[in-house]
Amino acid sequence: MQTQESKRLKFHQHRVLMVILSSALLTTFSHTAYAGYSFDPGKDFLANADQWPAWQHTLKRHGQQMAEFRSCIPDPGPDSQATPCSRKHKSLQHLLERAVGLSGRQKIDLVNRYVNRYRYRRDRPQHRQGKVLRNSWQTLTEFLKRGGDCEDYATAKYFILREMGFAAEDLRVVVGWERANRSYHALLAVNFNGHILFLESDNSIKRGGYRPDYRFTYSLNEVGIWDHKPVPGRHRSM
Amino acid sequence: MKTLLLLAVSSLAFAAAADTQEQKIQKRSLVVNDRIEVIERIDVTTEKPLNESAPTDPAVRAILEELEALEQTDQDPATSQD
Repeated sequence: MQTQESKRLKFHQHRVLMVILSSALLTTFSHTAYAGYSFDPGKDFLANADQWPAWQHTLKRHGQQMAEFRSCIPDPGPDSQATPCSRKHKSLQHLLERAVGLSGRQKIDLVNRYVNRYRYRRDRPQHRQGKVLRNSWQTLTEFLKRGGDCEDYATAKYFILREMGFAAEDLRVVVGWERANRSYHALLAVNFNGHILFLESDNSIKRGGYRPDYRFTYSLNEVGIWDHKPVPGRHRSM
Repeated sequence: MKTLLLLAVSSLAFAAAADTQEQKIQKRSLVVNDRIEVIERIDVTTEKPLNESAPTDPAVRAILEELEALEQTDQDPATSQD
């Protein structure tokens, strides 16, 4: 009788232990998978996008160039007064037309690979008001013409996905420190069907968290700028 | 008389509070500008070689092949094959 009672007690102890262990594991892994990045607009919000003049200038130029892109004709006749599309714009038009029938996930893959085919080219440091600016934000048209470096790949993907109908709130150009390479790296984060996808410049798409040696520094889109570096006493709501 | 005094005191308190709010906004604006200046100077450059074996959807691959064929005649040096 006593043995049966002690067996039952042991069984219950095991059950309790298993429940505690599994919930601890679940908490740990769900935290690891999504701790990498959050699309919560209030989390780490620094300012509206118009507070960054260089980025705002790029958005304005991009708007003007896309208006030209939309009004160009791929192959106007010899007597036509219409503006012919550049080769790069023809390619972009074809991409946008062919993407219409694809699923959201296929569009993301297509844009990632399409942009990654372009030439990697480092920014030349720019001097403005006595300051050295190592980055310049390129528009999509400028990137298609000249190529660019990682933040240009990320912004080009951002602009094309916007053209394909993705909401600005679901896209962010994310910049972070890569400890392994000892350099800052930019990529595009997409909030897609409840998952966060990171579009890498090597063609891979990482889902959930990003590499553990990567520290998010800041993010931006047409809406805002998010500062992921902890600043004591910072205002955190949007 | 008391009511008037009370009103005057509350108006003064309100004005003082408004000033504090304005100061807060100014302070916040300075913090934002400083931080933007810092992040603006970050050198973001990490080149990564293409991973050709990364999986692709067949429909996506077909469109990319179409685009490559379309751009074959393109002499613009910005398109690279690396």
